[in-house]
Amino acid sequence: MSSYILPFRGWLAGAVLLFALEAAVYWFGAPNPYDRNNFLQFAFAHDETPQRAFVYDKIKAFADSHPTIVQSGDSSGFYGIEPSVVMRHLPPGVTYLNMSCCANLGYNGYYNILDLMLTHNPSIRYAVLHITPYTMPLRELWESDGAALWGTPELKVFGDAVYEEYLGIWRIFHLPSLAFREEVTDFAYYLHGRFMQLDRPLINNVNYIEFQKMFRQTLGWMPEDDPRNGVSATECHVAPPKFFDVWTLRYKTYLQQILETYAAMVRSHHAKLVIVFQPVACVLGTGPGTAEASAVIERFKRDNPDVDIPFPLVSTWPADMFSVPAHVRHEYTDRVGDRLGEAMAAIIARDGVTGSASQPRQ
Amino acid sequence: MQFNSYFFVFAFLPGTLAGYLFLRKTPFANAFMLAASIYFYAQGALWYLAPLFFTALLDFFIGQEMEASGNEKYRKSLLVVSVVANLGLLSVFKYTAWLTADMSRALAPFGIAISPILLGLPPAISFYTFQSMSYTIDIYRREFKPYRNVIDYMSFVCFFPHLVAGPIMRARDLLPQLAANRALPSAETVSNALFLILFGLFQKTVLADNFGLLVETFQRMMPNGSAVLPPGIGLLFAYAFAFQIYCDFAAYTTIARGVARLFGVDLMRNFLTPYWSTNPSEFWQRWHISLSTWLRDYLYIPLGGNQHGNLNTLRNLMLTMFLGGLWHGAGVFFIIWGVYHGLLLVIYRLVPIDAFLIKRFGRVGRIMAMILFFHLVCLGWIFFRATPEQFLPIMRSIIALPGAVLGTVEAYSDYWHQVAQNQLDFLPVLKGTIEGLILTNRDLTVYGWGLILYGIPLLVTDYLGWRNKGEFPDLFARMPWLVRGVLIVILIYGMLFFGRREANEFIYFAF
Repeated sequence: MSSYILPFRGWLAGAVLLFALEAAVYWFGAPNPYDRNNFLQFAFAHDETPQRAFVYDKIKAFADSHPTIVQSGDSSGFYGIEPSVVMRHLPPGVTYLNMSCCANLGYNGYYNILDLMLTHNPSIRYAVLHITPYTMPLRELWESDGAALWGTPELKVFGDAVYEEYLGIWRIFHLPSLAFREEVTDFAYYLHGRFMQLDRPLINNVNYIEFQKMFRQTLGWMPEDDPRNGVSATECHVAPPKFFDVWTLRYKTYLQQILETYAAMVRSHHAKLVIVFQPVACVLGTGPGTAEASAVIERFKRDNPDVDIPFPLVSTWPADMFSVPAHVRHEYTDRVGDRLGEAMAAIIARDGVTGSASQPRQ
Repeated sequence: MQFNSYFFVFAFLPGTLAGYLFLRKTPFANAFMLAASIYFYAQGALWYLAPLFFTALLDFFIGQEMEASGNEKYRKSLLVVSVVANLGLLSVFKYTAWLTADMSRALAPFGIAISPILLGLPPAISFYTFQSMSYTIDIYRREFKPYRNVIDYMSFVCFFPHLVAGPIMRARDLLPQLAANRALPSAETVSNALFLILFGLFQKTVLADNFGLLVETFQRMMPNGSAVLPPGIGLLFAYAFAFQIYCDFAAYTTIARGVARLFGVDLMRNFLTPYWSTNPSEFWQRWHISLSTWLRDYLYIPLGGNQHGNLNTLRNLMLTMFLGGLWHGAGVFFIIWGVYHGLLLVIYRLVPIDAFLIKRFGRVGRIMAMILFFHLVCLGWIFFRATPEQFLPIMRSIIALPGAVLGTVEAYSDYWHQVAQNQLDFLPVLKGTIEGLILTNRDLTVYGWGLILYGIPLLVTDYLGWRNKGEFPDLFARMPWLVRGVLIVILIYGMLFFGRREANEFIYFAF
């Protein structure tokens, strides 16, 4: 053996051993590819962020489910849009999937979810971005992964993780045995359930238990069960923050930047972008920024005729229909679903898409 | 840029290495390394480069000027400019927020309102200012001749493996290596360097970050000064932080040394199994060695060292450790930590406790001295990590531990009486007592288990290193190749399953 190779015998032996073990895990353990990532922490006696767990479970369940329409966005859609209600208005065979989660996924996260779903499912013809005007695009929701959303340390924006763990280049290092991280860490950390109080902390999270019970049957929807009744009648602030765009040397709204980026991505997958704003309870008005945001949207519509924005930025509904400003109470989700279903039906009819929509895109 | 990122390990490092190997024999090698180092450092923010360049270039030109001048008065004033500029810059960035915040609080009762000035702290500023300062001091002392090539000099200050968290290298040790056309590292060196990197990554992601998680968990249990920690958690806090800061800092240096060796450069050892020390003097010869020796050479000895009587020696020790504490951070507790270590040095000098224990009990006495001193160090770490509000809950929890243990033992005392009278078997009662201890001190048991889980690999590797008068990675070269292979796989699986996923900066990035 060459004298230059000799010192590396240990490394070669390690590589051979690692390869053999991973091959064995791959063949005999048949790991789920959507478990082979670092998306969740599985840290010692430490809560997972519930929102991360929602996204993890949704991706694992639906990443290859071949819907016709996929929705991504903040919690307004997660709690507001029940796919079965929307599908009542759609041609038979056209399916609707709700992949929305929460604001701390950020616009990067909504984007990455849509990108992931469009990459894995050639059946998708429509990508719906469903948001509430309360979470207008701003810096920490677009380019600051890890930022504490609204100054809350527990609400860290984590949208980049969707890209890194499911789409990015470093996935090549996700070995098959990574899929068994939960089992291995549970065994070591909780001594096979001996420390039950701290075992899988999320088990004790009421929201998560509810979510687990139903999200597969409801295609991603979860009813809002926030006990708060109604929001106070105040003026809302729906203004589009700006940044200095070094490419054009002009100030630009994050809203415009995001709309353009989403449109380009969805277009690249030969699908159609639909942007939906949930109604708001801003019975006393929406502040001086609303006109500017609406103007940005109107301009975007003019420049991108292939993108559908079926509702105005601000549609005011009575305050008692909401539990919190961004969430419609579950008694009223039919109305939000019907509203969207009718709009989607019109778009589908106009585009001539029929019940055989599950055909792959051209 | 973080050492513990995919981008660094699989893109930046191989790319920089390839570029260096390609340019190695050309005059552009150091320019390339400098560019790579600047890219590495400026990932956080471009403005970080301004104080770095200011410090480095100022000292470069002062060094040239000092060397050219034979006028001692002028040379001395140049040195003063260098020291004042470096320490001034460091103070502005590091202490302004602290001082103005304290001043704001102090003046508020008198109706005077001033806003604290919050300046961002450029990473590594404490490291590169000390490094750059040692360059001008060495030139002033005529212990080192300045280099004329500014690129070579800048590559010394900015050399990316050690730029952010040391070791603090002296120009006389590092600059000649960087300025020379270095030979390719041997295969043995490369293999060992790769192991340093792998082991450092394991230390950081598996050990340091998980100990850190425990520390954060304990801190969340103390939202304010009136919080009550369960008995013993305060002790676990001290242990967990002692292990976290050691593994974190040692990991950085281990990776830095491994990376530097791939470029044919030797960086000094910064740690040498410090928790096996029996006294403070030995500890500081094993902990953050590059800072300890810096403080010794540029502060303690110029103050007079141990040459002017006992009282002056003790004063010099206290002053050096006080400034060492201040170097670590802006806050009263950092100063207390420094003074506390100064006091330990003084006390051990006056009353050599370790020498007494070793003389009296031999090998057992040495172990006792180690355990005693380790706990004294842990007490110091509480000052270092806890906020002033957390200090009392931690101490109360430590004090409550013996009571909790004795309480459980007392609850089972009737059973033990029966064991003594041969009415009950020993083992079932022992088992019952232990189970009772666990049940009544659940937090202590669960988090104690976490500490043990990560403490075992640390204890084993550190012990092996200490027994062999080095660090664990030094043993790699001596292992049979099959054992090396198995060890590599164990470390990789350790990181794969147990490495903490949340992005974690190295602690000393903030210093």
